[in-house]
Amino acid sequence: MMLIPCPWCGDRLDAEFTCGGEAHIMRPDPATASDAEWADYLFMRENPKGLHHERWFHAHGCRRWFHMTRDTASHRIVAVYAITESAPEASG
Amino acid sequence: MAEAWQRQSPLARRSPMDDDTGAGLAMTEREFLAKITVRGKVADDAIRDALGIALPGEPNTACSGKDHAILWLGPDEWLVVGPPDTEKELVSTLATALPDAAVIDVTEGYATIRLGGPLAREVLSMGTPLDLHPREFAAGAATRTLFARTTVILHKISDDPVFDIHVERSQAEYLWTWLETASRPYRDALR
Repeated sequence: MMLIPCPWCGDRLDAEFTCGGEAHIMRPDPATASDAEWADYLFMRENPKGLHHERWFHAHGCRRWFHMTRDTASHRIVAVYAITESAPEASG
Repeated sequence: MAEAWQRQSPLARRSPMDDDTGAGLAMTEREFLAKITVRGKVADDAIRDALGIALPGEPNTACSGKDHAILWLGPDEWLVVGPPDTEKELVSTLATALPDAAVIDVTEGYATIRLGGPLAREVLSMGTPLDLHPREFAAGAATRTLFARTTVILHKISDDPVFDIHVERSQAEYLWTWLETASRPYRDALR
């Protein structure tokens, strides 16, 4: 069991949330992107052991998306920030 | 709204759980309460004029008046609860007062279970990791949360404590049985 700090509702059970995968993926311009760039955008995802920026959705609560930086090895939650914000300068 | 003659609560066949043990745990259904979802831009003044109560602006809170309660569900989403059979008037009142919001009647979509008594918190704690201690979840607190594997809207009416649990109609009977089962040890122990 893990408690996730929703920026609106506060600490909630992880089962209330849906993980939306890696955050901050930028869509390349389809007119100029090469096949490799497009494939990278569509299919390739980071799979780090350590800090990872993710999108999360509070499905059974306020029904809001937000960003979370989480350590995939320890499940330590480093930062929670709005869906409109870009990744914080992550440290330790 | 369903025609009156064919309208049936999903909990119509369940008998209320009385506080016959003296333990202080009672469960009843609050049948056919008017429930309206409001989403969008909602002006505090407009709500005050329409219903005479303030709009809860903080997460996990609700504002209650004599007849109505407004529950915060999300940054642009609220649930308005009113007396039975008032949903039509309530929808038109709210729709007029709030031109920039979607006002949806969800009366038939939800059932409401009222759980009250000193042991209510103990029983509820079995279904959610939410801190229900009055220090954290005082009278007037309300939230949508995962409870006993189903999504509910939990509203603490008073510090007695009395809780109202709004649950989707199709989950109502399941939740009712779950709460009955969860209360059994307490009731048996004190019988």
